[in-house]
Amino acid sequence: MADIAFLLLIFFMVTTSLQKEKSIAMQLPPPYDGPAGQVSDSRVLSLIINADNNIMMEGEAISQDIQKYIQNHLSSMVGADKKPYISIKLHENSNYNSYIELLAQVKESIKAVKSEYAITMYDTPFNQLSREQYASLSKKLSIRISESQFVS
Amino acid sequence: MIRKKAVRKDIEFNMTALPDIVFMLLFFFMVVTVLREDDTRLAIDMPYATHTDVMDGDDSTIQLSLTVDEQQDIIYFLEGGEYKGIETLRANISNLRVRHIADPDIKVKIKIDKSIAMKHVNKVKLILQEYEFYKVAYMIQRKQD
Repeated sequence: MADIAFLLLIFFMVTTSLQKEKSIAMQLPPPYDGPAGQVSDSRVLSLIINADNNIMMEGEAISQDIQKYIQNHLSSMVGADKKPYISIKLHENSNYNSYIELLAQVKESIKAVKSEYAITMYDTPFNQLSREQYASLSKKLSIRISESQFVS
Repeated sequence: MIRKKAVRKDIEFNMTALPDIVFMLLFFFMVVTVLREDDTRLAIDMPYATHTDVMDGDDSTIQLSLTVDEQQDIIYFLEGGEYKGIETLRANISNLRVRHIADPDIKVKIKIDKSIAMKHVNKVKLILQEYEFYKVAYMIQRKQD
């Protein structure tokens, strides 16, 4: 009896895994007060969340699949050898939920573009690239995200 | 004279009660143990998201949470402490700079209620930038399909 109980106990102790926490990681930039830098319009993808928590692009609401939309833009910029620059403008009254939703879509599309290029450039899935391949791909696909707040 | 050799008898314990004791201890600790309790008094309804980044369990972290109370005031929780007002939070974040010096890669785990307006989130971000806490992780709930 005791043997069986211990066996079960040890079995469940070994197989149980506690639920891992999930997060979206971001690297904040150092504080900057200087003049705004100039980035050519052709490599900026400007996304806006308005006060009603709608995601807008160049003043128009995006009706189609947002992730596909961002992904298409990024991949055409990278195709034209431009380093994409994603600008996220948030209305001060937009809520955190819409921000995280957009951030997740942006991150997913960056991931998709990266794996797409890993296949076309090296014929290998992104997670199986060698260190050198990974470095050169990351260099080609350096995608910056900037965030700012606006008031209406 | 023949000396009678003392026969040393092995003492035997009765082991029947051992499992009882072990189980009693097991149940005692199972009941008493609490997994890391939520460090906040108020419930935080974090947003759902489809994307998640891998988080290294070994990273040293600072816990920061934002939520609203019944009076719709913003409440900040930082490392177990509860604060009201952004300036109080700033003072307490500046107190954590020692931790940052000890470990420059320290991560700030941020739990924010999904209803919070971005202006409050941005204020917190500015403070973190000011005190050079650049690595942040926005905690989320994964979308359940």
